[in-house]
Amino acid sequence: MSSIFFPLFILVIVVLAVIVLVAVFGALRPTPQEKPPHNPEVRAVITSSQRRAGGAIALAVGLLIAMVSLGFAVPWALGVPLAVAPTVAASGGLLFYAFPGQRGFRVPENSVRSASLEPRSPWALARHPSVWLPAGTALGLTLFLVFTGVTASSDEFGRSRSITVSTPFSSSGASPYPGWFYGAPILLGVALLLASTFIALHRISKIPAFPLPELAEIDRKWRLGSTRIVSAISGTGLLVTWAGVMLIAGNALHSVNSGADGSASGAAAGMVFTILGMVAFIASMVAITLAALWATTLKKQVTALGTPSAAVPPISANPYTSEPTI
Amino acid sequence: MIALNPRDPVPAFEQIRLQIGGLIRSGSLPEGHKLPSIRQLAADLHTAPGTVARAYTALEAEGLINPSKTRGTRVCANQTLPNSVAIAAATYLSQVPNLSLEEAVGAVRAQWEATRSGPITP
Repeated sequence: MSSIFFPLFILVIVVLAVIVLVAVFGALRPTPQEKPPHNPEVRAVITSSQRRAGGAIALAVGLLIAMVSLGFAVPWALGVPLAVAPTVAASGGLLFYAFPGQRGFRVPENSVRSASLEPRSPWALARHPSVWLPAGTALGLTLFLVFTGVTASSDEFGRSRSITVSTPFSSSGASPYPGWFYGAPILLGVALLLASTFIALHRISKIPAFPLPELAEIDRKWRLGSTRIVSAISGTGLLVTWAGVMLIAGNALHSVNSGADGSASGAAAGMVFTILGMVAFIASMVAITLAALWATTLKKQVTALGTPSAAVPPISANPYTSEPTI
Repeated sequence: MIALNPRDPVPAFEQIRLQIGGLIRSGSLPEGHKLPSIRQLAADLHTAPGTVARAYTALEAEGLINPSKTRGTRVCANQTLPNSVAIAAATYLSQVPNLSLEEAVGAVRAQWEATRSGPITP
């Protein structure tokens, strides 16, 4: 088990760290065409959101490293901590993102403020195309785990974590295989991650809107940008999990079918799973890189329109009485 | 959108009630339109939830909105004023283009009160 998981997760961590660091530092480098928002309140709110998103990604990577270390420190757990590490780590990051206290738009006490009469909800944000990544991946991963759970066989201790191919004359088996022994905790991790994603979207929807009609489009773009970041973090956790599951399943299928008792179609399926696992792994690297890029460039994306500055004066000593936090 | 002016002598809940009521009667908020939750609108307007709740309660009493725990607060059916009212309002505003909103509403209010106490003055 460890012989397969260890290089995989070390690779995941190293590539994750390098890609995220390169992306973040690259995005933070100022560019000549950068157009900072004029409105100091808009700038402050989005900067606060950027910090949260960056913190969420950093925390998720840190948790992943911690859980992988834990997984190797407790070999009697047979890799279960490793199997749930990506979803639990991403959940931790998203719950950090959703933690109350995000800075809101501070409004002068006696200034006119406006509000839209359109309701905001996490369900409305969940209809954004970027949410298809975690939703589709969760569905695919669940179906794949059901497939591997049904095709798995029990080992000598009755744990559903191997696969056996039998002929009238002999039988051969391979382990580890993502049967229910791994599938059940992974599915719990998927449920936790989906719930965390919903909580993060709930937080995005509940932050008060910018209180000026001319800032409505900026407000909308900021929420959609944040939704994309949350979706990418969530999708990364699911894709890394799916990649690991497919690589393990592919390796076991290929091993069990490469002997004299095996079938060519089984070996081919193992090869396909291995290739799909690699594709999912690459996709997860793309997703986390995009999350980091979007988190560091949120201000640029949102304020590409330019924001009006005349309606709300810059913050002076203490003219504001309300600092909304949700 | 609606606006809340803390310097306006009209109470905050009344400002909210008048604007949402006006949007419903003018047809800008159609039948079945879902309004934001009390907490969302209060947070966006930087006012207390109780202020918005009071406005919603008044609008419900007028039969303009229908709060529901499952479906949210929605605009009731058949609350839009007849088209002739909108035409009359447009005609009125076109004939006195320099009036402020307060002056225009005040003139209508004065005329409305006059019709209750005596014959319509030209």
